[in-house]
Amino acid sequence: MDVSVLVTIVVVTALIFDFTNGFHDTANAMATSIATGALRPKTAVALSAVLNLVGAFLSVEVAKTISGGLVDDAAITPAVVFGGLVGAIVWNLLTWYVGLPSSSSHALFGGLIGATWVAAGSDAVRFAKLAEKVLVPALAAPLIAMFAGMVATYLAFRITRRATASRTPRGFRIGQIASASMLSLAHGTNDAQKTMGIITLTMISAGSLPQGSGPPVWVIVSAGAAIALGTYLGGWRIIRTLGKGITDIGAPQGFAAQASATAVILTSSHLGIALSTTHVCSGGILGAGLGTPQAKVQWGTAGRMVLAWIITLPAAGLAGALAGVVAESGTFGTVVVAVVGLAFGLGIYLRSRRDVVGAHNVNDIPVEPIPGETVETTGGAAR
Amino acid sequence: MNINWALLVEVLIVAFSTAVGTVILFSLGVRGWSDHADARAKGGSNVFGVATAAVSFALCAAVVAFGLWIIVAG
Repeated sequence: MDVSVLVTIVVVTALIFDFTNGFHDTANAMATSIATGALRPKTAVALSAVLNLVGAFLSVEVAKTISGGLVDDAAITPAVVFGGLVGAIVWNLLTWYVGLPSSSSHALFGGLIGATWVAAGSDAVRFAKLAEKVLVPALAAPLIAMFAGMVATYLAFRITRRATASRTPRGFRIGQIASASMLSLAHGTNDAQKTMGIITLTMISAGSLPQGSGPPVWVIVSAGAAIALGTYLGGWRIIRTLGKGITDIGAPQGFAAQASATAVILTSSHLGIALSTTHVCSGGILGAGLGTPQAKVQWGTAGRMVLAWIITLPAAGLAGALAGVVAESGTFGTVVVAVVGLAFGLGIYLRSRRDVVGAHNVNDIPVEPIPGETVETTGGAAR
Repeated sequence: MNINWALLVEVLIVAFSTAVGTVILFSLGVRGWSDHADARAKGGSNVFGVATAAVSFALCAAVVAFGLWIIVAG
């Protein structure tokens, strides 16, 4: 296949991944604000989308490696990147369908590692780096956020215990809007930049851009627009899980959870550890549930969420490996991967229409789906 | 494998104190503002409440500004 055609395919796929990254992660910033009514659902996703877009333009620190050093860059070809991206997209769509907040970054890393592994062998994968930069932070992030969220929630309740009960939620809701906005902005800066990095480095490797150049303006604009559009469409299924499925969130818990998540993310990225926004935010919410006097935490949902965190990397890796090995085989293989990937996406979308979760019912408590039964919904066009 | 435990502990300490500190400040602000609103409803005023709220929210705003600076400056 002509190199420029392959690069074009990679660019489009990277933007599709960026889009799924947006709607997968809307929940991180906005789930608790939507759950407590601090923001109306549509307002929340619109605000988050705008801030993601702004965030994408705020800083363009050029990524030096596609995978952040997790695999040997010499082994990365456009076909490998394509396979890795397809693996990540497939996993993001699947977890979105079942409403699980899994990390988009882990999906991306997993996909790239899987595709590199089958293309260049296990020697090209830097396992020590993987443990150091991905696995240990993945374990630490939710724990730190959970601990902070728990203590913060408990103190918020204690301090405002004697305040008039009808006044406190309003104050905390304003705080929620501020912290949710900061999270959205930070998300745009971090995640949109990953896509910009992938596109730019792939174009450099193919010779379409000179060595060492930064992302062209059209790359910045399109990556920012893709993540903002995804955010605006709203991953309502995941928002519902995080906002209503784990614990009953009131304004003080929502604020404490988000302030904790924001503090952990900004501190860690400033000090040089890249934590998964998803893990941090979910950890904060779990902690807020634990810190609330007499609160109930839905451990079943929390357990499924943790399971999704663990299997995201290997599952996306497997999908990436499969897509990578087929795409590596040549033009026909690449076309097959593209067609199968599109068919998979369409299939998930059509299935999701049977049980629509949107702005209209995002605050309903999720019910366990009964296998084989179609859930009747009204107002399906609201999404 | 080289895990930087010192850095992780640093993140834990800094993030934990920032998060908990901000939430304490904001809660104190909400409390002070609520006390003042209560006093106002009875026709009086609560100067201590207003002052607590003003100082707390101002400090929270400073934390937000610092956070924005971190996002923009990387």
